[in-house]
Parts: sequence; structure tokens; C-alpha cells
Amino acid sequence: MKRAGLKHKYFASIAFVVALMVLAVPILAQQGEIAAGRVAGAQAARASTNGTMWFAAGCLFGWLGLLVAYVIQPNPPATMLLGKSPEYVAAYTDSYRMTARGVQTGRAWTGCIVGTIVQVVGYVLLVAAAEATY
Amino acid sequence: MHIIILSLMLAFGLVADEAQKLDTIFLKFERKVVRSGSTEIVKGRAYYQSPQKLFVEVQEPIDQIMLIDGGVMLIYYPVEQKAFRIKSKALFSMPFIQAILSVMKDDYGLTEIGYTLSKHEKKGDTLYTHWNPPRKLKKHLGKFTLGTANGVLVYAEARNPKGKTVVKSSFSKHVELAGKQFPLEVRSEIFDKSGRTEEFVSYSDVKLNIPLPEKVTSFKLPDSIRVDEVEW
Repeated sequence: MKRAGLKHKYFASIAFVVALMVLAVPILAQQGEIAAGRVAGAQAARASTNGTMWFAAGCLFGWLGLLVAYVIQPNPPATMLLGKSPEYVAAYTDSYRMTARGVQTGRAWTGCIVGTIVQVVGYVLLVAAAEATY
Repeated sequence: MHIIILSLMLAFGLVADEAQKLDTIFLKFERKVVRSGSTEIVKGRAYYQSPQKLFVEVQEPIDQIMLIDGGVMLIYYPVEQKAFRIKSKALFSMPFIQAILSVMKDDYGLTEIGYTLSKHEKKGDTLYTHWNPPRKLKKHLGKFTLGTANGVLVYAEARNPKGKTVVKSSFSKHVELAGKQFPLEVRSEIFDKSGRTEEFVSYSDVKLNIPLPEKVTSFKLPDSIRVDEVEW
């Protein structure tokens, strides 16, 4: 009797573990798709965003260049979304947008700061030169 | 960035020019991508309608419909009953169709967008022509090399403005379409900051200027579908 009860518990726990695995596999697969989409989106955004151009925009046009860096966002390449799951597409587009904007605004800020420093130094030198003259 | 600018310029230059000749295109495709040891294969059909509309029906590995219409890209999953609509201020590039539109030109459409021939050389049967980008766009576009054998395009290489190769493609299995030799197989190596990707694309059943099916021309999302709107 006791042996039969143990056997029953044994099979019940196996069934429970199997049920958990069956439920967990799609969730894990989804998580994998999301992670893969995030990584690929970030990589593609870094590869396609021209940091030098945004640095120059910030440097030359100051706050205007910075503003444009916040407004303009490069389109995700359609080819990279072909045959991908909805989870992947959602993660890819989010990640692509965030990374591209991060690179653009980061470089534009750096350019803006460098441009401002150059202008201030130039102004100080001009003032000093003018004072030395008079 | 450089590839995107170049593809869009080529696409629009060519679309405008070929509008009379290429109203619609239909093709079946198989795209195999090998990257970091993993391989993925996507199969499906593409329907193009001039000037800027593309309907892609992916059949493998999942059911997916991608509709590009200018600055709007709709991605629909009939099985999952989900959809994304991405709206952008800029136009989306059109997968696969760009290849056909480009090959329809003798010089890959480079002259039209301001590229100039800088030199040429012959190696074996292949004539290589080297092209410089237009002056105004030198900061964004790099040099281009085309290889032709017996008047047929067999090789193309694009570099970035720093002179580094970003994509190398070889073309094979040519068939005649509207008087031009079109390659049914394209093998590409793509180099970017994250590494090297190999891409093999094969086309079949390519048809030009055919009436497109109604499911394509009057495609509409079912009302019950939840759409994630993404303003780009």
C-alpha cells in the first residue's frame, strides 16, 4: 500500500516537472527572441549611425545640431526584420531606436561641448589680444 | 549608414527612370544568412508596385507579411494575430527589389546618382570598373567597383568613405529579363563594426509587369488585429 503511494507520488512529481518544462519552453524561447532582437538592434544601430557626422553637427551648429540629433532617427533596415518573430521585431526596433539615438545625441553633445569650449577659448584669446593692444 | 544612403539613392534614381518599364515585379526568394556560426533561412514571395510599394509574404521560418509603402512599414503576423506599423519621416529601403532595379542599368545606376568612372582594368575574362562618388557626397559615400564578364555583371564591391570594404557581392545564374541579364543568385559578404556576415540570396519565377493578385493590391489588415503603432 505504502509502496503504491510512493509510486503514485513519484509519477505525479514527474508529470509536474514535465508540465513545467512544457510551459517554460515557449517562455524561454520568447525570452531568447527578445534578447537576440535587442542585441541585433543595438549592433545594427551602432553600425549604421555615423558618429563623426553627429559630432560635427554638434560642433558646428551647437544646440541646433543637438536638437536635430534628438529629432532625426535612422530607419531600421527592413531586411533585418524579415522572417523574425513579433517579439524579435519589437525588441529589435526598440533597441535600434534607443541605441541610434544614444549614439547620435552622445556624439552631438560631445561636439557641442567641444565647439563651445573652442568658441570660449577663442573669445578669451581675442579679448586678451585686444587688451594687450590697448 | 553609407549603404542605406547608397541603396536609397540607387532605388529612387532607378525607380523614377524605369517607371515606364517596370510597373510591377513578382519573384520568389530564398535568403540564407550565415553569421557567427549560426545560419538562418527565410523563404517567401515579393510583389513590387512602382514607384515605392513592396509586399513581402514570408513563408518560412514563420508566416509574416511585410508591406512597405514609402515611409510606412507594416509587419503583420496572421498566426499570432499581431501587427506593427512603423511610420517614418524617411522612406524605407525595399529588400530584394533593389537588386533587380540596379541590375537593369548597365552601370548599376551609378552614373545617374553622380558617380564617375575613375579607372578600369581587365583580369582574365572580367572587366573591373572603379567608380568615384559625387563630390558633394564624398563624406557619406565611398568608391564602387563593378566587374563584368561578357557584358554581364558578375561582381560589385562598395567601400565606405574611409576606403574600407563594406559589401562584396558576386552574381551568377543570369537570365534575360526585359532585355537585361538578371542574376538569380547573389552571394554577398557584408562587413560592419560587429563583424562579417555572409548572405546568399536566390530568386526564382521572376516576372515583370504582371497584374498583381488582389490580396496584394487591396491588402487590408483585419479589424480584429492589435496593431503596435511605432512613430519613428
